[in-house]
Amino acid sequence: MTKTYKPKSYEYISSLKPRFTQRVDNVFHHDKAFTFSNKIVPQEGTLGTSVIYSQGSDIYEIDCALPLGTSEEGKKPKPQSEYGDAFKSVEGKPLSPKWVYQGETVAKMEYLGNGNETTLLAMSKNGSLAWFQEGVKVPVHIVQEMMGPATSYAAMHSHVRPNNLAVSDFTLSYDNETVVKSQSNGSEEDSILKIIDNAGKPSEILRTIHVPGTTVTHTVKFFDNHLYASCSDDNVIRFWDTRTGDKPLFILEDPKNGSLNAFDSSSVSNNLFVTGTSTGFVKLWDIRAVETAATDLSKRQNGEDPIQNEIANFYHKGGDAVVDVQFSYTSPYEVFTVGGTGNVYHWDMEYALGNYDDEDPDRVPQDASEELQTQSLRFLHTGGSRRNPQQKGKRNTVAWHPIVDDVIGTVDDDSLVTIYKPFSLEESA
Amino acid sequence: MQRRNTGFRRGTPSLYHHLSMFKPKFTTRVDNVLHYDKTVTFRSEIIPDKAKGTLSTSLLYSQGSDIYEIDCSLPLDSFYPHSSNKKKELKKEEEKKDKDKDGKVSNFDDAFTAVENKRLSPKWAYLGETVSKMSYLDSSDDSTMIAMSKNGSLAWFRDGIKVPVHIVQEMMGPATSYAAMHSHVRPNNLAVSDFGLSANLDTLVKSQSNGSEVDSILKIIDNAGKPGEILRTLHVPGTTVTHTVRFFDNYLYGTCSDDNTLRFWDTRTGDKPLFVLTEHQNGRLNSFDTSQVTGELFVTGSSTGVIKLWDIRAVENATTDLTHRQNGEDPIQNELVSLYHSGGDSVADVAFSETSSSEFITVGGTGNVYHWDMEYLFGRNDDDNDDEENPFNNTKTHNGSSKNAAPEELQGQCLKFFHTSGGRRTSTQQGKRNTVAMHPIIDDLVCTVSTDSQISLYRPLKLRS
Repeated sequence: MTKTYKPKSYEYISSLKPRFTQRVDNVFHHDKAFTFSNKIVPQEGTLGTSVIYSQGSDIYEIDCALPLGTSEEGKKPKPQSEYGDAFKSVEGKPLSPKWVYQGETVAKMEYLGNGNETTLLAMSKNGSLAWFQEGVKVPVHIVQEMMGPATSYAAMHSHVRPNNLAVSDFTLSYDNETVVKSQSNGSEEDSILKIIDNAGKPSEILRTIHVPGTTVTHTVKFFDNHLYASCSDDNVIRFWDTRTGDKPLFILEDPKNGSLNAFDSSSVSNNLFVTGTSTGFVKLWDIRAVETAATDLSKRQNGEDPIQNEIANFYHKGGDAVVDVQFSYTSPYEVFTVGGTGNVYHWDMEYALGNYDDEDPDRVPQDASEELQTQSLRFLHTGGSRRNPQQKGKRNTVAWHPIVDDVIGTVDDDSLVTIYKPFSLEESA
Repeated sequence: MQRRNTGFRRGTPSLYHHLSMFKPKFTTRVDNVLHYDKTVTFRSEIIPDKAKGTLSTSLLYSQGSDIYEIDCSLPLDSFYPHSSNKKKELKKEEEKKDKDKDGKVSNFDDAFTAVENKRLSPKWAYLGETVSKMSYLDSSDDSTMIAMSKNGSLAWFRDGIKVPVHIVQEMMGPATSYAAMHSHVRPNNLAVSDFGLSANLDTLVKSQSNGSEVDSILKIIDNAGKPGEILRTLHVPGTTVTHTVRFFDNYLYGTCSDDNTLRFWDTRTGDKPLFVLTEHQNGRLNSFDTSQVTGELFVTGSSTGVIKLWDIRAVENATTDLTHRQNGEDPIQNELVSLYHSGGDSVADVAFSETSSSEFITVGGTGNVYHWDMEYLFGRNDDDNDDEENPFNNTKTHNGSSKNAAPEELQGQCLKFFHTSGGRRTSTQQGKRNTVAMHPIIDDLVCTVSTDSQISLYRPLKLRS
C-alpha cells in the first residue's frame, strides 16, 4: 500500500488566530513554539485533541476537534477545499495561559502526558529548562542557566550574531528518564551538553560535557534510552551514550552542502536519521552504516577520514534552506522538513528505503534524481499565499501529531495556528 | 500482635510449609563434587497446571563451568490455596512437620521427583571458567541469562545455544595480575568480582579486583543495544576489592568495597560517586543488597554478624545535613535498624525479597539461612517523624543511648525463620555467596545448594497471629 497525495489538496485544514485575555502589544514581537498534546478523546464524528502553543513566556493549551470522516467504510474521502472548524469550540474565546515561564521566552516544548509527574517540559531561549505539571501554573522544577559571565550575557545579546549564539535544544530518552540539553557556552569556545535526571530527581544535573571545537550545538536527539546524538556548528554529528565517558562513541562529518541546520532520528525504526542543510539538502542516514564505516578500513588508509555515505539525498527546490526536520511518530517512512520560507515539505522515504540494502554499501548514496524526488516528495504545504521568502521559517513551529496519522500543526509569525492533514488515497503498490 | 516474651532463638519457628531435597546426578563424570564451586538462581517463569495440581518452575544450578536447568513442581493447592481449604492445608502441613520434629526420618516433599533419577546434562557451559554468579534475564529477547566467572569474565547465554552468545573476557596476565589472583597468600580474597543489573536490564555494572592491588575497577556494560559492549571503566580509588554491586533503579547503583565504604553512583554521571557511606564499626562489610520493591532500602552485612537496614534517602540527606555536626566532620549516617546473627555468625550474603518490601534473607558463615521481616518495624516507624518520636532512627548518636530499648524484642519480632537444613551444616562449613536464592515471583520460596551439591527447595511456614 502506498499513499498517493494530491498536490495542494487537504483532507482537512483549520486555522485559528487566538485571542488572549491579556493585552498583547504586537504578536510579531513574541517568539512562538508549537507542539501537540497526546490527548485524544473520540466524540461524535470527531476526535478531540489539543495543541500546545507558546508565545513569549506564556503557554496555552487550545482544544481542537479533528474530523473523523475518513474512517467510515465505503465512503471515499474527498479533498476539502474549505477551511474546517476544528477550533470552533474556542473561536472567539479569549485564551488565558495554562502555564507561564516568567521572565523567559519559550523556545521549545515537549509534552509528556498526564500520567506522568511532569506534563510538559519547556526550554527557554537562554537554555533554561522548566518542568510543568497539570494544574500548576508555574514550573515545579527549573534548571536555570545564569546570565552573566558563565553564559555570557554579552555574547548572547550582542548585536553581532545574537540569534546564532542563543541556540539551545533538549531531548528526552524514550523512557522519559533522562534529559540531555545543549547550550552555547557564550565564551565562544565550547558548547555544552548537560545530562539531567528526569526520573528519581527531576532537574538534577548529572553531568556536564564539553563539545570541543564547537560554539553552538543546535540539536540533540535520543535514539533509545541511552544513545543520543548532538549536531554542532562544525558540521559534525557526535553519537554518545549517557553511560559512557566524556568522549563520543563515534562521529559523522558532513562538510559538504553547506552548514548542517537540522537533525532528527526516527522513534519508529531506531536506526534512521535525517539531516538538513542550509543549502536545502535533506539526507537520510542509517546509524548502523555510519558506525560500521567509522571502523571499516577496506577502502581507505588508516588515518584517512571514514567513508560514511547517506542512504539517499533529496533537496528543497530553489535552495530553500532546511530549518527543521521531524520524523513521524506513527510511520517509519514519513518525514517533514521546514524550509527557510516556512513551507512544510512532506517526504515518504519508502521508495528510497526500498532501494536500500544495508548489506551492500556500494549502492549508496542514492543521489537526488528526478525520480527519487518525485517518488519521495509527497506534499508541499505553503499555507496559501501567506508565506513569502522574507518570512523566516523557524524551528519548533511545526509538529506532527504524536498519535493521529499525518496530522500536522504549524504556527506562523502572526500567531495563526493551523492544523491540517494532506489528502491522500491508499493504493496498492 | 506483639508477643513480648518471645526469645528470638526459642521462638523462631522452623516449620516448613514445603521442603524438598535433591542431589543431582550427572551424565558427565564428576570426580569430586566438593572440588567445584556451585551457585543457584531461579528462572522467573511459573506454570500452574490445574489438572495435575502442580506449579512448575525451574532453577539454574552451576557446578564449575557447567550450568544445569532443573525443573521442580510444587503442589499448586498449597501455594495458591482456595480460601476454603487454606486453613486445613496449613494445619495438615503443620502436623506433618511436627511429626518430623519428633525425631522421625523426614519425609520431604517431592518437588524434584521428575528429575530425581535422571542424569543431568549441562544446558550451558562456560568452558575454562568457574561460574561464580548467575542472573536470569526475564524480559530480554537477546539472552536468557548472564553468568560471571571467578576471574570476573561475563558470558551471556541464550536458550538452545550451549555456548555463550556474548562474552566480556578478562585477560589473565599483568593487567589483572594472574600472579596476584593465584598467589597462595590470599587467593580467594582477591579473586572477588560481582555484577549488578539495572531494573530495566539495560545496563550492567561489574566490579573486579585490578590485581595490581591498587584500585578495584568498575565496568559499565551495555545490555540493551549491544550486549557486552564496555561503555566505561571506573576506578574506585583506595580499594583493592569491590565485592558487591547492586542497582536501586535504572541508573542509581551502589558498590561495596573492602575499605568498608559504600559508594553510590549514577551510570550517567562522571567518574565520581554521588555520595558515600562509610561504616567503621562492626567489622568488615561483607555483603550488601538493595530492595527492588521500594528502590530505597538496602541491607548490609558484616563479618561480625551485624545486619543493618538503611534508607538511601536518609543516608543521602545526612551527607548535606549540618545540624548536628561541624562542616568538615564526617556526616552522621545512621541505619534504620541493626540486627545480628547470634553467635557471631558472619554474614556471607544478603538478598532482599523481590516480592515483598519488608522481607530479606541473610546467609551466615555457617551456611544457615535467616529470614527477616521488617513489618513490625515499619508498622511503628514513619520516616517523616522527628527523632524524638522515632525510636529506631538517628537516636543513638544524639542521645548517647539508644531509645531502641528492646533489641531482643525487635530481633524476636523480625527474625521469622531459621533454616539450618537439619544437622547438615556445621560451623566449619563456609557459607558462600550466590548459593541461596529467592524466587522472583513465588513468595518466600528459597533454594540453597550446599558444597556437596545437595539442593534444597523450601518455603517456611508462616504463622499469622
